[in-house]
Amino acid sequence: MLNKLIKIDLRSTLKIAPILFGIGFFFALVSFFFSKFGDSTIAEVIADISKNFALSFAISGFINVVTRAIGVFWKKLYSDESYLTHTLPLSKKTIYLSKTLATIYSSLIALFVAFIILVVNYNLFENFDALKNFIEATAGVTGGNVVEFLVLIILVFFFEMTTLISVAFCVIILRHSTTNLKATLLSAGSYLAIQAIFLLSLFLIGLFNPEVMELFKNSDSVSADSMKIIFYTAIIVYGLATVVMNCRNIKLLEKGVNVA
Amino acid sequence: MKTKLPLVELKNLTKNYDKKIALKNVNLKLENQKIYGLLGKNGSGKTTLIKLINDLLTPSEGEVLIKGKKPGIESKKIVSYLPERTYLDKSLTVKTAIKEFADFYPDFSFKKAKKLLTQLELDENQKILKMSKGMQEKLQLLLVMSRRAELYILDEPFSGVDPATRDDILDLILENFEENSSLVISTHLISDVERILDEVIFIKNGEIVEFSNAEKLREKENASIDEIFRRRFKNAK
Repeated sequence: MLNKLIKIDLRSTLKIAPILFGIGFFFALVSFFFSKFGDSTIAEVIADISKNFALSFAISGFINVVTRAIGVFWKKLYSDESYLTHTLPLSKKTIYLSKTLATIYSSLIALFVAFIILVVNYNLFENFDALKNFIEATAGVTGGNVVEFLVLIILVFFFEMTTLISVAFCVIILRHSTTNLKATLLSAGSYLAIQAIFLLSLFLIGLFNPEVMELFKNSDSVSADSMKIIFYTAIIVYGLATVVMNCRNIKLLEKGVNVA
Repeated sequence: MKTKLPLVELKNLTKNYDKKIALKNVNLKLENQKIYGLLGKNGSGKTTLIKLINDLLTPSEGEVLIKGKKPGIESKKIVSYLPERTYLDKSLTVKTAIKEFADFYPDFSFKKAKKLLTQLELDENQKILKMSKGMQEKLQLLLVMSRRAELYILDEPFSGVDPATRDDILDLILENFEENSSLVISTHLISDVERILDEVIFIKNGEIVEFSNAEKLREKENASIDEIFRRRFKNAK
């Protein structure tokens, strides 16, 4: 049942994005061909304009998916469509998990498609060495291991995103069980608390690790090891925050809904 | 000896919206194989009561029991509910909507759906978005009545239907609801449904003011249910 519901939620979330990504891809191709084969000023101008359009559409496609996922959560749980959602023979937990997983899946799909558009747009097939050099240079901040750097960056981004999504879902759920002001304050408070816990965790680690403590004194001289600790701490804190926020959201939903 | 649990039992059920009381201390038992008319003026609490049974609202006080259990997965498997609004994803086609219903409700019958498609003159390849409101309501009725449920709850099923079609819709409901099931019809168009009702529930200002056998009430008051309703609710605040 969960898979069936995820499929439906994915369809709703990814309804508009293919159009935006399609346009983005078209401009990326235009940019690619004019950059590669055009040698006039007009060709350069067209390539530059198309490059910017492709970039805009790739970004807006991703933003569309994330914002739409949040919209779908509201629509399916509290608007007219909720009359069907809440009368399906499914637990509130299944309904919630479906929306959360569909949001995560669709965001990852959107991120991947946006990346492909950027690869075409900036002709990264031929400029692969430049990309590799850039990643290697950036990976230096964590000690130079490219694979470890990429995994850490992706995980930090992923868990920060899941935390934000769970906070957004929390606002929607609370808005329907309490006042708007209280819902906003509680959700914003939760997000600020998560950030504070992250900083506090780093500070506590810093008490035993002078290199990490340097972060609070002089941010210009953070060592590769300290950067790794920051990344690992972020992954643990945001990962735990995602679990805690989602469990709280499910508990709130299980208390019952009041659909207008 | 084991006593048979009522299909629906409402115990001291109260629902408040902030300071407004929508339902006040309602006690009610609905049995199997009966057709109930939930009758009341607009804003009397009919939809609130139905939404509480369907887990769309949380009681302020009291409880709702369906076959002895609080609304949940099991109750939703046996209750087929038609709300007074369109709840389908409008980008779907009729065919997809039917398939999705069948995916989630184990009691969904494709055979019934197919028969109803013909009876309601619906095109299964049509997009819901392109259908009129009345057609969308017909599609929802099709989906709800295609289930072999134990309890059908229809909230204002004639709201978007012209008077000429109401009788046809009512016949279609009677024809398609399962023999051992119960049916609750909420409406203010009493004369349209009167002929099929076994029991009547009058609801006024969030309180049940009458719960009787339709035939006995007619005999007692020597009038039709519609007339009795008009008398009781005339000038009622």
